[in-house]
Amino acid sequence: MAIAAAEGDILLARARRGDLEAVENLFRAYSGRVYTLARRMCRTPQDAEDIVQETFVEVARSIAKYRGDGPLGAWIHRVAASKALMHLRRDRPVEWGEEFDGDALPAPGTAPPHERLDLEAALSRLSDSARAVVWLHDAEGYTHEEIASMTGLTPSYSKSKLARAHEKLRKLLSPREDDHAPQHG
Amino acid sequence: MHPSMDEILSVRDGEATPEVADHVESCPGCSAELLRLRKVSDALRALPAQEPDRDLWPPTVARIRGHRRTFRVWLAAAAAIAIVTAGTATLILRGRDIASNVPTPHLARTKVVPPGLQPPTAEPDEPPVKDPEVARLIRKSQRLESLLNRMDERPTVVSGREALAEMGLQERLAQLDARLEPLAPGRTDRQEQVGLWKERVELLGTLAQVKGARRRTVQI
Repeated sequence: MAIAAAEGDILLARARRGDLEAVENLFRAYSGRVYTLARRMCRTPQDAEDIVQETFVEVARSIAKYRGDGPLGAWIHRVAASKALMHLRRDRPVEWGEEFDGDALPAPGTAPPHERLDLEAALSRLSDSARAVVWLHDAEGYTHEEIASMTGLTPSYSKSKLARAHEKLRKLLSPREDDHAPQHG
Repeated sequence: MHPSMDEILSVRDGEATPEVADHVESCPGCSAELLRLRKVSDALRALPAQEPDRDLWPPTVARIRGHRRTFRVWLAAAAAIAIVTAGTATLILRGRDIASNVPTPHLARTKVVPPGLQPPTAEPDEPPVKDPEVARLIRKSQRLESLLNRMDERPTVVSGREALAEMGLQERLAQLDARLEPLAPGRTDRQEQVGLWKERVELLGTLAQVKGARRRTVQI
């Protein structure tokens, strides 16, 4: 549900004054996309729900800082991405180390390693940090510099994480074909 | 020598050097890999939107209201500390050493644990509550309490500003814990309880990040 520009200005002014009805309107307009982002980055629906709530608590608290130098939806989305990243780093801090190259534990009942997985199942097999970078960069369009700024890490970390994540995805999506794939760097 | 995965990704994203781009274009294996990577990112963007099982506005607005209440209390506490600190500085400047008679901010952690719950331990115990979401949040809160306890075992240098920030977080935690008291007046309903526990977890996480960042700075 998009918000027309003039209506958006009025809503923004009311939200800045602390009007909860205005914040609810923003919630109804943008929470769907926020939930999708959170659900794709996190492991469980409960974590995604936490992030949606934390995002809009932050929106209500910090709406005065939004200067209108980009679409409001993009600003809210970025708040959500930051909240999701903080949540993931808080839960499993060791996965965000440069040296970490592990996988997530497979969920019960998932296919054994040699079976081809669909994309969603393969994403769930990545570590939190790898999945977050893949989703933010490839699906949501954040640059490595933006991801670096949100994680407090470096653009080269983000690029390296993305490359290793895609190597793992290649194995998970086409395990037998991967045996014959050209060896890259 | 074929380019690395991140070099082929840079070709995909239009950021590669001409040499790498030329190689990928002319090498059948690398071109196939580039095509595969493009298909994967297209497929990621085409994944369906997800929807929660319930309306998340009610717990969200409960948390917003909770934040606003505790923020007002924190402001009052911070103002009181500022007044006391200013008063102490003024008296010292006048040459009178009465600091020992003036209450000073301290970093004693809030040890309040709502009655009926086990105290925090390194291995979180099963909290005696029936609601699974509340139970999950309580376990998370206990894990963070354990982490903060371990951090507090190592003293670090603290600036006045950091002390004030931590004090503010502690005050907010104390107010939250008072609301989480089972026998407190105006006992909270389930949704508000979930909202308050989530806020507690968030505050503890923020406190852990503040203390963790300070420790890393001191180590450097």
